[in-house]
Amino acid sequence: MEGRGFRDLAGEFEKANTQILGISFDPVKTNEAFVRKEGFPFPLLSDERREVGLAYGACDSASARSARRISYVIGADGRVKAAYPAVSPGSHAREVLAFLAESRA
Amino acid sequence: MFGRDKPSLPLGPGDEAPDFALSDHTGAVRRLSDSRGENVVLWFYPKARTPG
Repeated sequence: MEGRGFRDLAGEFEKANTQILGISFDPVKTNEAFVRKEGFPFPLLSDERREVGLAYGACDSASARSARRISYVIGADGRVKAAYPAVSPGSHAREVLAFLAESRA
Repeated sequence: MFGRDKPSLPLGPGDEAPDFALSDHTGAVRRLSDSRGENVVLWFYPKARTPG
């Protein structure tokens, strides 16, 4: 899954001056257990009210059961650099790293 | 990478990313704006502890 991809490539993301933030609609306690189990070196955020999910298009309503598998790269200036409307769990972390390398060039 | 035949997203390259304040897994509040000066990957996942 892509969480492990980001975890396993954490050093590469750090070199690319890039912070990873995971977001789901799970409560804090569930995310805490998830981080402990998988050893994620980055935070998982809890969007229980779905406000961020709605703003970013990860769901269509405040009662959505779960977030869509999407992601964004946001630049140092706070603007979107890339939007990924469908994420392939196995390869996404590498895909994002490749984009970061390209966009730096 | 952008679109293809996938559903489109409300935000695209160049758009201001809406700021937020959410609790992380330790209970600490994190804001997107805390990360100004570095890139951020905002990764939405369906459920903790599910495969994929």
